Amino acid sequence: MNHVRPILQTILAIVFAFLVAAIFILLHRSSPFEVYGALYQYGLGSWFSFSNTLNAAFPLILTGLSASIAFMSGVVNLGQHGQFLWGALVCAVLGVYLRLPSWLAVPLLAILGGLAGAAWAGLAAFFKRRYRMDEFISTLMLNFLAEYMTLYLATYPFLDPKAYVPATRLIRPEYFMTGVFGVNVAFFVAFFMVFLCWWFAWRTWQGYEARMMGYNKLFATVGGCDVESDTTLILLFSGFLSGLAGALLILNGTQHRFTKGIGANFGWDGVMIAIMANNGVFQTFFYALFMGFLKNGAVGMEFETSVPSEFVMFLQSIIVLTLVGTRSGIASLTDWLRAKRELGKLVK
Amino acid sequence: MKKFLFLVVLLLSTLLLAKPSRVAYVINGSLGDQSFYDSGYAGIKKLEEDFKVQTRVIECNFDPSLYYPSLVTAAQWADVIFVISYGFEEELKQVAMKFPNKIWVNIDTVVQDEKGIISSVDYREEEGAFLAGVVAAMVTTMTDLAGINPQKIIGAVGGDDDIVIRSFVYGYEQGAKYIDPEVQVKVIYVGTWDDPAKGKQAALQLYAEGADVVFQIAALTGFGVLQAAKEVGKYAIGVDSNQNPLVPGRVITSDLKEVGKSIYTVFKMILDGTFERGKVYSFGVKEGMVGLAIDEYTRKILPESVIEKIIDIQNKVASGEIKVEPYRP
Amino acid sequence: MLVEMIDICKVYPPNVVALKHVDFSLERGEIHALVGENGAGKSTLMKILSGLIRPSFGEIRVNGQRVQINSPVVAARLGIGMVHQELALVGSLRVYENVVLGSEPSRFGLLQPQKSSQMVKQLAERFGLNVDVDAITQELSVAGRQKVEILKQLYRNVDILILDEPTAALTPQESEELFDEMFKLRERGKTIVFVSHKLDEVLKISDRITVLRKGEKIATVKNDGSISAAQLAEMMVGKRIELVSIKARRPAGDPVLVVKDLSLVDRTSGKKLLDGVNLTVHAGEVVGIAGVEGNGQNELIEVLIGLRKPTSGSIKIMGEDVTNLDPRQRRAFIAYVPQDRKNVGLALKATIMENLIMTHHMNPPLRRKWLLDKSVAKDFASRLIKDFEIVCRGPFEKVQNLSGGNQQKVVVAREISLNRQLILLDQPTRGLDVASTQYLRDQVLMLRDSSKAVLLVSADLDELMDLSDRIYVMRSGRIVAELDPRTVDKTVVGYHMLGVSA
Repeated sequence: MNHVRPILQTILAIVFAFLVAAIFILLHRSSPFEVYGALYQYGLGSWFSFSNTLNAAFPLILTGLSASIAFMSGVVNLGQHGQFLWGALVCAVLGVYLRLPSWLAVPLLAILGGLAGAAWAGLAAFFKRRYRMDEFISTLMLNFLAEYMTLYLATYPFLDPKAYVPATRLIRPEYFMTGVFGVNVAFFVAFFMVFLCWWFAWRTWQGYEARMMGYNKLFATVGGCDVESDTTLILLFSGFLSGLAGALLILNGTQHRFTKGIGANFGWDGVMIAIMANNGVFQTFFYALFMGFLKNGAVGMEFETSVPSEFVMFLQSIIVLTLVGTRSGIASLTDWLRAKRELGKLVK
Repeated sequence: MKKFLFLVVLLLSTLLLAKPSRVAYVINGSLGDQSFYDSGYAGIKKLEEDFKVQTRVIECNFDPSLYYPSLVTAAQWADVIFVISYGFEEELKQVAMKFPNKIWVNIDTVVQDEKGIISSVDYREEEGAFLAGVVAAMVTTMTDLAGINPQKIIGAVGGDDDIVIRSFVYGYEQGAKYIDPEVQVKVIYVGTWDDPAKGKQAALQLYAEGADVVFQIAALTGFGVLQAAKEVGKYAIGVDSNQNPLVPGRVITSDLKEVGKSIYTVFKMILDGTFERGKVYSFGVKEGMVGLAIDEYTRKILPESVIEKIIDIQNKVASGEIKVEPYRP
Repeated sequence: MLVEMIDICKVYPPNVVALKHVDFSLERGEIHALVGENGAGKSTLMKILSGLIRPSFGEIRVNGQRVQINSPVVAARLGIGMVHQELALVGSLRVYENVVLGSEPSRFGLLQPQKSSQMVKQLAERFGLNVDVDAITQELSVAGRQKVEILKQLYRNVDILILDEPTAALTPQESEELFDEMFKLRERGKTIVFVSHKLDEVLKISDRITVLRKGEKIATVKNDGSISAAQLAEMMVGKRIELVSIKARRPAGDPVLVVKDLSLVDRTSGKKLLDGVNLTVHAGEVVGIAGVEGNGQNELIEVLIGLRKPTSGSIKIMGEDVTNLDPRQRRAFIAYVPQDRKNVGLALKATIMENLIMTHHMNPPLRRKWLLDKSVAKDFASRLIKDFEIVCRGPFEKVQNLSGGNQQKVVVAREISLNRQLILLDQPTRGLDVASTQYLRDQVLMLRDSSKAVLLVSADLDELMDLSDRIYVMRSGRIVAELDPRTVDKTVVGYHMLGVSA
């Protein structure tokens, strides 16, 4: 019962969200059946579409985990974007210059990218310990720094002079990660990280301290948790996940190089996914897939029904908003109904 | 054997797709720039009218995470895909490999895959920019014109510091030196393609440094350059589409890149059967795809004698009498 | 009848039944006591009357008219006002400003401070409330601020004044003064609802008494000498319980906690929060800290547990200097039941098990290197739930679903099972019902008998007198007296708390 109820709520919320969005589609004088048909066809309908959805989701899973792990511990890491960029840049640059057998280089590059993200988050941890600077503001500001610093590095010292946009050179082709039946290996790495995060949060004692810190920081402090170290650890871990997302995007994405704007919206999408997922690890995985599906399917929707792209983004927001709203709505509705029933028993 | 089979498939598919009915236009940026992307869109719309084909436009809004899904989706839906692929050349190659029987036309840059699936339309932008440089240099030396200072400085505002924009600047400088070797060219790369506020700021800086004419090479960002010209009473040169009417009396001319016309021309070749896969189509002044927009707005600013001289130089570039050096990275 | 509440039911979503068919009435000019354990529904009933929440069922009549009290504004219009336990005053304003706040007398849109001050002064005199209306509010004592709240209601012309546990934070002397003032209000025709669970006070001042138990009205009785405290207690609890604690004094052992010259200065204001505190707690004794709230007790506890660093002085536990250790290290010596269980003692959204293993989690067998042993944790939690009789559905239930008493049991179970030599108890029975209170007192005495050193901070003087072997009285951050509860009277402690000589 404990696990069934949230799942039912989520399903109900998604159905309701699509119904609400359907109203807007009708207002736009399109057919919801056509629009959702296209969404399905391009997002899930075939193995090809489905594998593309999985491939679109893997960076989102990792940035989502990065945000979830931080938020569940009460650490407000909003620096996913910057940590992602550093992971991507370090991986892209080393991928050009490093000469190692690929079985060694590929995992090494991924880990180094993750460490770069961790180091960038570590700056925020350092500011917090040393100067009591709130990580909420420091991680946010570090995003801007990362944006400009990585762009500078890609535009000048590491520029590929033959590229049409500011970009580093392609990494060595033998470092390109492959896929299994069209599903990128990076997806499986992300999937593994989901389990690692779950294991960390629910099986290790530092995970326990972190979660308690997230519930109630004063309680954890008084209970003897080493709140400072835990916060640092969480920031580093969270940064590692974002950095890993960036590195894997270079190794197993479509670009294989650092280009301007490569961070796209992965960082903020991760934050949004964490919020939708209530910071749950497996929920994060689910909602990242859901976002990947929307992203991937939305373009198809645009093609088949010729709705403008602004409308597609609008629909996405409607779905997300309704989803989050409905989930709490259902909870209070069931509460209200139970209260009514209880009163009914009382006054007959 | 494999190669042979591939060729057969190719041949068959070209025969089957003799009459393409669905055309997609996938761009890295967004419409509404009133120049480059919009020019291509006009061409796509014209295809719809003249050939009764279905068309779709996918704007990636400079979000690299959308490039791949957009191409994949376009390939699933369309027969012919026109792509403006700045920054996603790699994706284009990958997706083209997966859908080799579609017709892929890349515009404004050269993307070549091993199997020769993708065709490219490459503009000799140096030629157009050369003419823009000619106009700018002539105007900055016409001190009798309102708002022109005695300094021989002209400027340019570029989007990113990349190959295409450097090609523009390279041609622009050649044109300026052709008129007067003493003319100094100042360039600012703003680093965005969709932020007019930054374009305006950059242009204001150039005007303050003594430039009389600023050439905008920055899509929507460059719209700010035109506004800046109006604000300080100086002159600007537009790019890609005819931007002369946007700020009347301040935009002397526009360096046209006829993206729409090229799309139309290429599509007609596809219908005629004269289109070749894997080919790089080089379009310049001679083909009428690059050149200056000279209209009544230009005539309001410049005297007829000057305009005649400009047209004369344009003709010389077209005939090959004046050789414009291409930029080599 | 001035007010009639008929057949009131209240269900809080999802399924908490707070009130079941409760009838309640008020007559003009009476002091009506509303008694019951925590969770009996006293506050819910009064919140309904004062418009803060709406009943699920039932009707309310004022002067025979059926009314809907949808908000406190409507309640005020009907002449009903409530003084809450948490006083909501603006500390930096003067008393009269607080009183008139929200309905200031004005002329041509201008405030008239002179007039306000005078009006409030007259009001205070008319109702015999002894308070300086021009004083800055935050400089007043809790009792003083309470009077301001009462004045505020009187200024709004209420006829029915609801006082929610007004004596909880008062000294005996202050309580007496409040009672006098309540009598004066009654003489002038006001009706007072006195919410309390201090039975002796209730019997002393009220005209009628209504007893609630578990959401139901047990009885409304006239207080004409025919009812005793024991009878009331039985009505409240439902079974006869002994409200006495056995105080078998045993010789104290070695000193466990030794505090020397402990001072704490507030960095921003420079105010001395703790001023040269010296105290000792021996093994096998309960040492009480008495004092009016806000006189340094909170700070003392915070410094002892390591949340704040003292400005000077030293703390030794079992001979070891812990002054510079952080809370994590100190927890090796100290068990701690904090005053604020919701914000300090528990993580409400976590499970009972997660709350029970806190602090225990740092050591084996729960901790195995990197891991937390889940099966050990579950067994451990189940054992504590059984031993401490925590009423719940199991170790994986969330703590927020438990009643206040059971929540406190979770805290106490965790801390006592730590088996530390020193135990800090900060207001451990606040907000608990009679049965839980009794349970907790028994636990304290058991700890003492097993040679632990217990430091007990409480605002409840009776509790301190009953449990402590020695009592330190704190005032303005200083220890002003050390008393033996067997030889001195409660009122003497009160005098020391207030700083007046006997």
